[in-house]
Amino acid sequence: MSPARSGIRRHTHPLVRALLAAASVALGIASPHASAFCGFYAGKADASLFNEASQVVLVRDGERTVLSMLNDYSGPLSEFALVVPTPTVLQQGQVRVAEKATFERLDAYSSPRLAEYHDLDPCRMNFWWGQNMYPRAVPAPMAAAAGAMRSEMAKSRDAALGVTVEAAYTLEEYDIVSLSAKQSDGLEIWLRENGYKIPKGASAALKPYINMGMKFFVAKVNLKEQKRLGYSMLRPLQFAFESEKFMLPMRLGMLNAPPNKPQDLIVYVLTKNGRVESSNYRTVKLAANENLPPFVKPKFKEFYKALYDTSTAREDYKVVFTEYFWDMSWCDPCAANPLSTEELRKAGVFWVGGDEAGNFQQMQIAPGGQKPAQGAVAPSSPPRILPGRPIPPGGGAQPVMLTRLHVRYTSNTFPEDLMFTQTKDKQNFQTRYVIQNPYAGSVAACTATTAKSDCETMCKSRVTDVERMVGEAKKNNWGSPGDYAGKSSDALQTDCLKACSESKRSAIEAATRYYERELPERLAREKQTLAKLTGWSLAEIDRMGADSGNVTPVPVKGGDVQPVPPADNRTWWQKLFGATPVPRASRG
Amino acid sequence: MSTQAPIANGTIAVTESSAAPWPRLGNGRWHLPPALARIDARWFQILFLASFLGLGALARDFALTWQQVALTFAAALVTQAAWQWGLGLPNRKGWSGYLSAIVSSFGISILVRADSLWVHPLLAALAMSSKFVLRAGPAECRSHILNPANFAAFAAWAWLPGAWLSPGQWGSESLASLWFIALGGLVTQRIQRWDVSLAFLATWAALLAGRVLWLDYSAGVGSAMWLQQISNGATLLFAFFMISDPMTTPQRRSARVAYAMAVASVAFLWQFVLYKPHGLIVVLFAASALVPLINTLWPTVRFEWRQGAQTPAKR
Repeated sequence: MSPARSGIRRHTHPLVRALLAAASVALGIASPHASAFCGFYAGKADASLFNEASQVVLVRDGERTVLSMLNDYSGPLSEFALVVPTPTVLQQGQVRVAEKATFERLDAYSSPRLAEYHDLDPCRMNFWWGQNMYPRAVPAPMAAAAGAMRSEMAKSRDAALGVTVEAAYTLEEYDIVSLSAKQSDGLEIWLRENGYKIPKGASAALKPYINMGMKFFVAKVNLKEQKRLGYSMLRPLQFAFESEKFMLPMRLGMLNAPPNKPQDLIVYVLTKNGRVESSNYRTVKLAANENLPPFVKPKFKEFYKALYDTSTAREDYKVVFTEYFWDMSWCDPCAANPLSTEELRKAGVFWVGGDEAGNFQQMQIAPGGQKPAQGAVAPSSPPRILPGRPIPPGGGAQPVMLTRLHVRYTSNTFPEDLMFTQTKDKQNFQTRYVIQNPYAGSVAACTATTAKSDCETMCKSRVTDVERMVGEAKKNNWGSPGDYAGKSSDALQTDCLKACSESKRSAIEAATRYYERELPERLAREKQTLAKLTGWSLAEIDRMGADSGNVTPVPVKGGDVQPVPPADNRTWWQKLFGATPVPRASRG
Repeated sequence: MSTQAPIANGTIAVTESSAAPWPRLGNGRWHLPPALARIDARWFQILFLASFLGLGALARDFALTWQQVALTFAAALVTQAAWQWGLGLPNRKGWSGYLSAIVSSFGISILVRADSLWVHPLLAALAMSSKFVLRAGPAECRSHILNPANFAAFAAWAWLPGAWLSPGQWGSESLASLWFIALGGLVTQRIQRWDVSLAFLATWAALLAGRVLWLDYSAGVGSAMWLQQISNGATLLFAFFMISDPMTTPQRRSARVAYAMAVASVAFLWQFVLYKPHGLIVVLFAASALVPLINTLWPTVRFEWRQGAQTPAKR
């Protein structure tokens, strides 16, 4: 393309950081550092923990695919460029700017979580004498671009390079071109001539994709438009296309990375039928549902990071880890509320909402109004069943299943692009860890408490009750009240006192057992588990033991439902994405 | 496809794959100690498959429960017994048929994943029954059509809810060892089907290499990718323990070598051109239907397990 092209492009530093990404496309390459976003939920280890983690949302049903990519690129925007191999030419309308919030919501919902429980006081006097004359089963509590004004000259140059500009448009702050190419060196030259700085080796890496018949989506930031729109950060791009390939050409994203430097990729795959796994790499579930020492609570993020580091290193960075798989209509415990229908549609889930908008809206207005958001960690709460959350969005109509895959890879350990297969597995899985807080008491306290219980007094009233009940039983023919029948008041009083002092003794015994044996043993086991999972030494863990703090969960609010346009005969991506972008020609 | 009782000569048409050649005594090459040579080759299969299942369950954390494995074995053995006795086969009291059921059970346990307990036994029962129900071929080599484990894997993927295949489950690291064991199988077994395994693997490896070359990957990336692809545990198991089933592959050597090459080629198209899943399982399942025809066109004597070699079927 001639140097006389767009002014914007000439202003563009020739030093464009080419983020070659893909899925049927690759992922962000160069990303100096991730900017952490705030508002974390206390007991959650979210994606921002992992520096240089690219995040991808992959929505797929049949051959219909919606792919969103979030790069944690934080360099100058003028130097940003994105090259994504795509199975088809992406026309206007097949691309839209997505919201970072979508990734944050998916991340929050599917993050590894810490569930907290509290022990009951072991010092319990099981003094039931006289209370269960007719014992019945007590219900036990349930445990728990490119220019539009392109000159003929430029076109002939393109032809000479074997590059065809299939589409060019401006979409909000992005200048977008969709290219097809005949040879990779031609493509590389085209990209350079058009102001994209391509990393070394790009040509060789692009070649296989050209040979596979793939097209290239190329985007850079239109600084003027961006200024006009008022954005300062890089917003994610979302593509809708149809392809038989269920894959992420992550290889292209490795261009800028040294061969042995691990990079992180988090893929949120949303499907209808079941869990998604890789078909060409091992997919492994991370160790989960383990009991950890309570003092880990304030250090939960560090814990999870260490766990992930240890797990990936143990597997030599050769496996794909499953961090979460769940039907998105609920969660238990919830790290954040499930996504609303509107949020799901923003994420690209094209089979929710639509014509069923009315139904979904109705379902959103749950009887009794909205419940306040709750977290999995609620400090100082009594033992309880953590809140499960049946929330309508996916439910009822067609389900939305979320598989969260986390890959730490190097160029050497993932020689092939990541291919996926959808299983019919519907068994929920989450990286959930448990802390069980000991009861804050002691044997001495138990002894003191039990000593305060006055058996004489308690028995007096119980004997009275028992005698009355025995009388009633006789009168009404309820059958024999067992041990209590035919005894004198004195005999009953003796029985009762015996039972009372027995219950005191067993309460103290239980407390002694709990504080002196069970608790230390449990803590030792939990420390062992922690050491095994994180690779931390036991000495380190013991040091950690002292400082424990209170972490208050920050509820994440669910989105509101907004009206969805009625059905029409637009393409499925037009229906999903709505308005088409402004043609490039409007640009000065 | 007929439903008549299988074989009347006293050897149930036992099945299953197996690798490997044991060039027979007298051909001037290797030979086993006579005591070992008399052992039914399926004992070796059982040994190897058990070690694969153990490796998978312990080191590769297969998503498999012991109950699923137990139910698979129980259902396969019971189904085998029911057919043997129900059809009043002359050798119904023999143990030979059960060996095949055990081999199939290992195959199903290794291949199929399910989120319920009923999938595995149902597949085992269907797979064992298919041996008695789906039979065809010319008289001298009449046999069941489908390899039971292949049938079970295909059914799991194509028809059953809550069942799936996990082709990536082996990864590609323990591969040296898997190769090793598979080769061990190749050497110790003597069912003369090494030609199928090798023809398949050679074709598969060549096609993958061709793809890498045609797509023009850089040498380093291309070779790493090729190694990753051919060393996939699922592919090796397929080559040595499924497509090599002497009962469900063409009996004449030239025909079965061509057959193995064709299966590899079509599976390659399925997986790398059409981007469809589970190419090997799907294509072998479809190709099995052609085997009786191939055996009719190029007839040869049928394989018998006991002798571990091809002998005329006494009908």
